[in-house]
Amino acid sequence: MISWALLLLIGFVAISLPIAAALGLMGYVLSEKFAFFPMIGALGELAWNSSNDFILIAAPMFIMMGELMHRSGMSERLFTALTPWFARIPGGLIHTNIAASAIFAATSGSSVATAATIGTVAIPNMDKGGYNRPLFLGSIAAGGTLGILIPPSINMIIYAVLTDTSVADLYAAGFIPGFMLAGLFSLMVLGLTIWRPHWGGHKQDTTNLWARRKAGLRHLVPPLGLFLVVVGSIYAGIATPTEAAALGLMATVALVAFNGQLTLPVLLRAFEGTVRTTCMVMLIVIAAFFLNFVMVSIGLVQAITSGVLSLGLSPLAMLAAIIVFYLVLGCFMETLSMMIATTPVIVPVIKALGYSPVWWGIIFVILMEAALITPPVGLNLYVVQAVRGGGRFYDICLGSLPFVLMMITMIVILIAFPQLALWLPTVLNPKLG
Amino acid sequence: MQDGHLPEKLLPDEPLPQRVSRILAWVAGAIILFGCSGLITIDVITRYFFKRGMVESFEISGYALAACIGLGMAFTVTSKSNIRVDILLDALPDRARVACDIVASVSLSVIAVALAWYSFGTLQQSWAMGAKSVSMLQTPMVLPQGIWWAGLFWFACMAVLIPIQAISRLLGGNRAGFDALIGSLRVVEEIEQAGVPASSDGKQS
Repeated sequence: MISWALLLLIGFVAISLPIAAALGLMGYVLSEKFAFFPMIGALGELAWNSSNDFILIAAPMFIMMGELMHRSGMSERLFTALTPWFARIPGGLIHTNIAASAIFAATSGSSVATAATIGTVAIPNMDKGGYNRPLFLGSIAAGGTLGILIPPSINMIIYAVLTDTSVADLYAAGFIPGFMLAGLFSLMVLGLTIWRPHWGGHKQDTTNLWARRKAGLRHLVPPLGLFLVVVGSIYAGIATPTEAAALGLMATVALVAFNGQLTLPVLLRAFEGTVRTTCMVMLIVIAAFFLNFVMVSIGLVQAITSGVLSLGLSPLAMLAAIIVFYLVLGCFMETLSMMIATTPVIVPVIKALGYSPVWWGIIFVILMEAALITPPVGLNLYVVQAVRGGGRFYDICLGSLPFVLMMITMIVILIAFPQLALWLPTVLNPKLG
Repeated sequence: MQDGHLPEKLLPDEPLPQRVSRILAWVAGAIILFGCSGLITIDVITRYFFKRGMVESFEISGYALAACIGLGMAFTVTSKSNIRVDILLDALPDRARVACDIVASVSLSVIAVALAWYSFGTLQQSWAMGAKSVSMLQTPMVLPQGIWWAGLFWFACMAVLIPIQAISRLLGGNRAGFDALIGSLRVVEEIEQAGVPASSDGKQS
């Protein structure tokens, strides 16, 4: 049964069927072959139930927030405002790339948007400033991935729905690892540019540094304000994560309108982008729910879990094997589909090994970040390449490598100190403690 | 910001079915903005000040999401947004690629038709039983499910139409038109959709 499922999946994906179609057809074939009664009849009910799930409503609202912010020039102003703060540090603008990505990430849940916007602003300065190209480009590609680890995060919402975990707990758990990972990125850049000073570019203009720093501060207010609305309101007890997303979207619309940029074309293009991403994801989610329903009913999930457990590996070795599996799979698969397709199978194994699903959620998101910047299929690499418009693609892959190492380091740290992820949720939500 | 550019056309030149799908996507987006975000915001604010919500947003926003998903689904087909793993595809000879593109497109139409068919069953059942939501509103379920299903039905129509359109273009010798319909999404297109003008030379090595 397991080998059947595996063969089907590999076959469908290899001939490049759309992921949603591959999962749906796989569910159909498995149910025809192994179930006692045809299960396709449940498709309508499953589709309806996942179509009006209250937790999932947050996803399109976050996507629309990102679309609007991205088109309103907020990130450009953020980038310019941050630049003078890193003028004296070796690596200069590379740190700006990382910091701007981290802050932008704290208001958006999309990594493509983050990398594309920061890339458009930053890349013209790369050769002007004499930076090492791979490192500079790598920082943009990798910085963009922080979008899904630092709350809010679309990926965490979908993970929460698939595994029945609390979104608020996942957000809280992602907070410290997210900013720590940004710190690790910067630390690594600092180390490399001290070791090879010419990688860090020319000396920057340091006149009037404080005046420029102060002048830029007001551009930090909108993103930080949005962060407070979207994340603060949850832990202040005013709103649930879904309601917080609604407040955030309204606040974003107000901000864009305040800047006089809320025009009909901006709004309609944002609608298009939102609907395209939402429906694409939802089709995969519906197909995955159907497949999961079939797999549980025919006993496939239990078979996999007990099969894996009967290998007799220690939990840590098992965990390591799963992580390596995802690092490899992430090279070839788009991240969101990888997450939706594998979560229903892997998370029961993780729970059976005695790990917390919230903690694993964070590790999982970091693995997806790595998948976004590992060639050949790493969406952020292509985004940066396309924004750059020419030059060697190899540069970006090479430059992303040290950042992938930092992600693996972060995972090791989280395995050694699970409290980094699990402490904040227990503080903010005493029920857990 | 926009000076120097020609004003962007809101509706690009495209065949009628594609245009309808785009307009439905606008409606779906507006539903998210007003039906989800707007209503929920009103409820959160009134709950904060008056200790009670005003508009039952918890229930209605769920229907709004379903409406958005239904109405917007066709746009994923016409904008080629359904994700495929096309890494092996690049290594294949051209004919095999075309075959894979067609198979992929047809497989999606199978899924779309199945979805429309079985969700019609759900709608029909709600109709037959006169199902109402268990809440203050007592919404007749056929209302939200009807809008949702109408969208999914249009999605199925588009998913069936697109491969036919593409194959007829291919037979007519219009290879570029074929790629524009069902070839997998190139990164340059993806960036353009994200709203960043990609340079014409966005080659991947």
